[in-house]
Amino acid sequence: MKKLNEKIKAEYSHSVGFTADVGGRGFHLPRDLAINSKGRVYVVNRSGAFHTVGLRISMLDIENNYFGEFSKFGKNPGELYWPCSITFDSKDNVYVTDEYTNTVSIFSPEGDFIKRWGTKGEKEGELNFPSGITSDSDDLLYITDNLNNRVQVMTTEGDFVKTWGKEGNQPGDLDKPWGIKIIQERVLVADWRNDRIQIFDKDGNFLDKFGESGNKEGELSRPSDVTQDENGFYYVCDWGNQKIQIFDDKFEYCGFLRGESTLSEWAKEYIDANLDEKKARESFVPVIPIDDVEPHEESARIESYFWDPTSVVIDNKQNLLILDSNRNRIQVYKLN
Amino acid sequence: MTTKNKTKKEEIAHLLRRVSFGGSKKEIDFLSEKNFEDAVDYLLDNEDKNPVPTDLLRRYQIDLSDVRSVNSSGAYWMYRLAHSKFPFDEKIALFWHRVFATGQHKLIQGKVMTSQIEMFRDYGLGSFENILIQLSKDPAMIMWLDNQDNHKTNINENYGREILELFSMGVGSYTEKDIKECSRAFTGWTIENMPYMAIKMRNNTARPYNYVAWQFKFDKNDHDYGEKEFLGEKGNFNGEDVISIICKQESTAKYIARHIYHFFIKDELPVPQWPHKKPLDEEVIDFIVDSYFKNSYNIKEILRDLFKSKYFRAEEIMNDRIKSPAELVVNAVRLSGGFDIPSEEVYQATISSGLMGQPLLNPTSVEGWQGGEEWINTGSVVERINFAADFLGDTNKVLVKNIASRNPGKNNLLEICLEELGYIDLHHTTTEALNDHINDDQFLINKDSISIIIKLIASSREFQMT
Repeated sequence: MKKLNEKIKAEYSHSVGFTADVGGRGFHLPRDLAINSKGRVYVVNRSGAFHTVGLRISMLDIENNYFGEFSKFGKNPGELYWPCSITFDSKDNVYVTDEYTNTVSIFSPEGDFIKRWGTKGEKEGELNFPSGITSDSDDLLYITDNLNNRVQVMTTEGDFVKTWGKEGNQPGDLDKPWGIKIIQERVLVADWRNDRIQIFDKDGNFLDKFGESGNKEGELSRPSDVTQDENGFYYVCDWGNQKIQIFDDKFEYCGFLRGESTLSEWAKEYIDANLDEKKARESFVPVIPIDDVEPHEESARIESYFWDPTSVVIDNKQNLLILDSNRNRIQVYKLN
Repeated sequence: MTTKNKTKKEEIAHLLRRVSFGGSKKEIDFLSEKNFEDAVDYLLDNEDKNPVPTDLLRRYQIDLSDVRSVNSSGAYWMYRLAHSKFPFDEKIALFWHRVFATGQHKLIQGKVMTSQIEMFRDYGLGSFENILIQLSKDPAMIMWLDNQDNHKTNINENYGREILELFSMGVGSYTEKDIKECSRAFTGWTIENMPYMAIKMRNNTARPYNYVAWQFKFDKNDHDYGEKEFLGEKGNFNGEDVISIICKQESTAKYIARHIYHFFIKDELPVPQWPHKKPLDEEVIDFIVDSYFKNSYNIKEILRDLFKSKYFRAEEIMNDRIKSPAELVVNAVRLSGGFDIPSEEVYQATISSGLMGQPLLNPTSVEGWQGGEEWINTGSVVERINFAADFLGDTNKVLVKNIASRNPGKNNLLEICLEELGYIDLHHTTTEALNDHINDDQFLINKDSISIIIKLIASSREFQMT
């Protein structure tokens, strides 16, 4: 389902991935995705608190090619406990935040562990539940230091550079921020519990904000991520409302995507190999009338809808990739 | 029947243990400013529409968002039990979960069990008739008792039998023919996309895209619209009609009264013995039965009558019921200040409740947990004591800090600890033993020694009771 005005075009293309909760090709409760300079997609699979064997970083592309995985659950160097977000430096080295160990782990592009840094605390350079991470052209890392309600800028070696933000709801304040992106030298932050997107310059000066709390069209509920396309349209991962909400460069509301997933190539292979499910699925009605329930419950009942979208990324071909977390897949839309 | 020997605070503490999951000193002191009847009204009516920050739950523990596994769905409820600002809502959900026992081990997906508990929150304090209607439409119950296989051409009696035997009237109040007619009335009560959902359940797979939560569907093409004769009445009954007839029965009132007595007043005999043994206190059962009809089956008003009655305030029922594992765990967690954020502690508490014999959302059979002495065996006692002692005695949690901040001396340390644990009334031999320990010359008062006293109290028989 989607509803877009005449300003914007976004056509569902296909889905990538399926459930693989013990590792291997596919995902398990993924949190974030990012695309490196060679177009390779990295997906952070957080997996469950007790069912931890699905935790890993998956490598693939949106043409359904699978390149392997690295890391696993644990607290030792090279392992991850509650991984949340991922980014790259200019050499395509991989940086992953871990909310439990309050660290950033660094891997080579092929997944070999290099090092990790990070200490829990409130002082400059210390972290408390680091959630989102992104990098700029100078290889500086921008981290949403979630429970400290701030953005911290660090070098790739973990040295403190600068910080901004404090707990609150005034312009520039933050409340448990999550996703972060740098687009055209501006820092976009999903100010999660303030139900808004805030925009800063790279020195942390507040520039602008948009979004109001609510569940009507154009209103936001706990946004987890945001990005912007080459035409200036913002795509907000509206986690609480289970939508991608779209705004133009003047923050005028342009519509929403609710999800339209079909079976991915990997999902089709699974269904084809399990004839009883394939036969039963022939009578499966994908979109059924739903009682009056809140969006999370609605998503649980409709397989094609987004269910906890956590991350949104646009590749260099203007494909919009939406990480559909509870459904263990990526829904891909073609923009314009 | 004694009602006057307990202090006001001890009576309020009793009320909070039974209606909620035990009160802190602050809560008891607050409610003690009211008369007892007003305190009852406050606890029953002070509803909070947003009792728990579910957004935090879902964000910090991602598997508490899809709640597929039993650990995840159980932990989701555990967090709500421990943090709800309207704990009576959770207590009543726990009550119905015990009566309408449904187990995730057959259903595979935890989400439908989480939704069933939400249904208990939404309807569990309303009319018993409506509760039974919602239960009969509940997807978890439909699949648990196979009503998706109950067809007009070939009935499946599982749900038709259990709604009479275990959920409303009890064995001996109906005939085999009533079971068949009841089952006919529920034909066509199924779930959307049933063939695919049944295969997914059987195969226990999250592929390709995790599970799809079930939704009730009335399949009019599979419903038996013919005449039925049920409990002496004739008509073209559907499920709602049958439930209406069930709720009029004296046996239903008595059966539900006995469950209410069992959960809120005193441990009864195990349910399978009820057809053969009289209630422990028929006078109280009669009181609840009268309230059932007087209040048009409204559960909240029945409980209000009961909590304000002399039977609830009788001294002989106080501290005479064994806390269920869930009650014990939640009591300890709430007293210690709750979970910081949805963390591993939530899962540990959930698993502990299971190790003590009550895995949330996963009773072993449709008969549920019998309660009472069933909770106690050599293994469960060790787990009960260890969990309560470890959680309450944690020096990093607010309970020990609160006690330390009151600067206790040897003369009042025990009294302060008992107050902070909810005005617990210890047996005099337990009190003497603890005071002997405190008055030992080697005993110095600090956070660690406070923790030890708390652990010893948590290990006492008195703390294990409600």
